[in-house]
Amino acid sequence: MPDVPQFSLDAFSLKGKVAVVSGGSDGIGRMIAHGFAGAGADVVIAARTQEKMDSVVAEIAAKGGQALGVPTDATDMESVGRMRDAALERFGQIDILANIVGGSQGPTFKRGRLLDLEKSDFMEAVNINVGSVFACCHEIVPHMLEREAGVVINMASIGARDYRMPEPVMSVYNMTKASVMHLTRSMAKEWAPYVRVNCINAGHFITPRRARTETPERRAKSLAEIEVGRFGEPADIAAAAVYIASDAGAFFNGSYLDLHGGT
Amino acid sequence: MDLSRYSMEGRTVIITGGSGGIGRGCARAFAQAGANVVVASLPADSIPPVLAEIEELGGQALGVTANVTVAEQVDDIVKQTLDRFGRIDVLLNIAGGTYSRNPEMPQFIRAPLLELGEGDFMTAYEANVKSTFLCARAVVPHMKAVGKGAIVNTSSTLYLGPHGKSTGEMSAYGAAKAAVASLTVHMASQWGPEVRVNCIAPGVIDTFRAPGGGTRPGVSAAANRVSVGRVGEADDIGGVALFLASDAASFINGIVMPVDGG
Repeated sequence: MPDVPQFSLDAFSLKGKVAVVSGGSDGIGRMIAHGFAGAGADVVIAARTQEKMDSVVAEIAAKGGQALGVPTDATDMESVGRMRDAALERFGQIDILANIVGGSQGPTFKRGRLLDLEKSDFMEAVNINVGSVFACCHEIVPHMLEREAGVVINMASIGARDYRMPEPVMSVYNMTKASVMHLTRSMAKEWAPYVRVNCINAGHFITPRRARTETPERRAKSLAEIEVGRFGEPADIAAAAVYIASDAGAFFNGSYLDLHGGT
Repeated sequence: MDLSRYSMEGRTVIITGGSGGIGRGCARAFAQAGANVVVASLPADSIPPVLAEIEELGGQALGVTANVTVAEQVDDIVKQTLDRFGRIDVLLNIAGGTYSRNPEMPQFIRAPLLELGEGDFMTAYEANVKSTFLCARAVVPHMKAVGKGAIVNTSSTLYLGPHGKSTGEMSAYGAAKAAVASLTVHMASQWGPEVRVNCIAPGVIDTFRAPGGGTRPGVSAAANRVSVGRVGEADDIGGVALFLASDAASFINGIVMPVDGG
């Protein structure tokens, strides 16, 4: 049974922990990888593109942290298994898994109104956003259960929350993130009491992908919705993920954290 | 990012119910994070041990004996805080409860709905909802004036949001805590961007247990229903309250956060 933390600011520290971040080479994953490293964890970046991983690993090393990049298709169990083995070989254990891979559109699927999509767009969105969570947990959680300790952080979206009116082109994405939110509850139940599982419902963060694809009008409309008057910044998502992963979050389980600045 | 984002160095926090179980856990957490801590609570003799504990942890402490359901007494908390520390950065609304444990407050019981009197129902509402409103209303002008502040309210998983389940005796309390959750969202949208307002919805927290002490009967049965295999401790709520009040949560506003061990 996990111990009750005796509280101090050190309760937020991740020193001595090893974190795997799927999708950790870019966007929100990169923000979280830096957050974990800043809080003292060793970090494994599991992403597709070697060059992007190399640059995040170098950034972390430049700040005195330790990181390893392993080319990974997070939707493919065999690929995730090879990444897990590489992580264990280098660091000996995995304490934290952050499932960040995902998106509303990508090279293999588009987003749009339901009647404008192909079945393949729908299925690929499910595969990337939900299948990756399943595959990564399936290959890594047994290791955590064996050690009787672990934390999983899934990335959902405020679009998954039922109080939000869905934006039409985001229908499939929002559905996949609602699945992630629900899966989070089931995972917490199945892997209790050793592995805590939570999700972050992210609001508007300007990722590089979003910066490339978003129109100024859509950007302004998003900003107007945020009560704190600004978009999310890397430190915001990093601090939330570090809280959840750390001992300070020891009683936070099967739950969700809305990270949207007020809406 | 480093851990200083969670720090409270140089900040002043008012904790209502700061001498009770959860309040005291929050007082410890904030003192360890560097805050000046104002313990606003009842009865008077419950406060000095908490002040001593805060000072032992290196924090500065002020105790104010106050009934937070009375506006004049709430105003007095604010006045004494400003006199002593000159600022109010954080308000933690912890005062409240499922029944009145405190002989100096109006009495109310917890019971199935048909066994509740009108007075029980209304007093549960006053203790949990009116207190939250009065305290927040009193600090917001000061926070607005300096351009920054954070308020953390306390609801319960019994408010029957996504993680709630009705239990027989807790109806008036649960309904009051639903009002606190709702109030949080309204406050956040009216007082932003300077003042952030969020709410914790705790599950079962063993507030009777002293740190390192034994477990009271009934708690081990409750622990079996919690995924992490134990009930919460006051320090668990101290940790999340500190997170929500700190700069680490500057993009978190208007949320109700269930913290119940799963």
